[in-house]
Amino acid sequence: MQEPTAATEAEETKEQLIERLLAKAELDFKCCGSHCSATRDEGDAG
Amino acid sequence: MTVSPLDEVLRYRNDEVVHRFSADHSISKADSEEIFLETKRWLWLCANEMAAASDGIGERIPLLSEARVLDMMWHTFIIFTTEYASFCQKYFGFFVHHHPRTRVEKEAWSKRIAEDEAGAVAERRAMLRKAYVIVADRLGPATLKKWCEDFPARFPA
Repeated sequence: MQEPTAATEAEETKEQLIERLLAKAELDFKCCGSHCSATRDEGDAG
Repeated sequence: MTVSPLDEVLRYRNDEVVHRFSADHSISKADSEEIFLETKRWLWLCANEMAAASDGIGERIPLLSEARVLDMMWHTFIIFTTEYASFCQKYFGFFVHHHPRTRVEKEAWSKRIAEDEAGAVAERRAMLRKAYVIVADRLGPATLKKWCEDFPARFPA
């Protein structure tokens, strides 16, 4: 089996973190849905 | 105008905002400074995503619910309307609006959950994953971990 590269290990770490956070967040977004968000006016764009 | 580099944005200081936050939430000055630093990081990320969008507006970027303390600091910052507007204009070139979750959105979400919980949760999971990936890719996994694991533990609701 090929040894994982440093880049692959870093990617796996990020993915593992994201999966852990998603599992923890699931109960919260079942009851709360969306949260505060940031936007920019259409008039500001361009 | 382009959005300023992150390190320039992070150098912005506002002792009044930090002091007000510290007093209102009984959080130490040092911790409040750290939370303000991370809030500027969050605002920079939002501004960058908006500026990079093909329509110049982009999607609404949800504030991660775990990062509640950043939202609290954002609320404190926008009390100082003049300074907040100047900050946005100077570093981003446009105003970054704060959109609270509305009653209509809450009711729509409750209805959606009641009708199709699995579908709604899957949709929300995909949205949240996208937000996590943006934070991890642009700011690094350490920032994502800090916002979503360290801060909730240190500053519980």
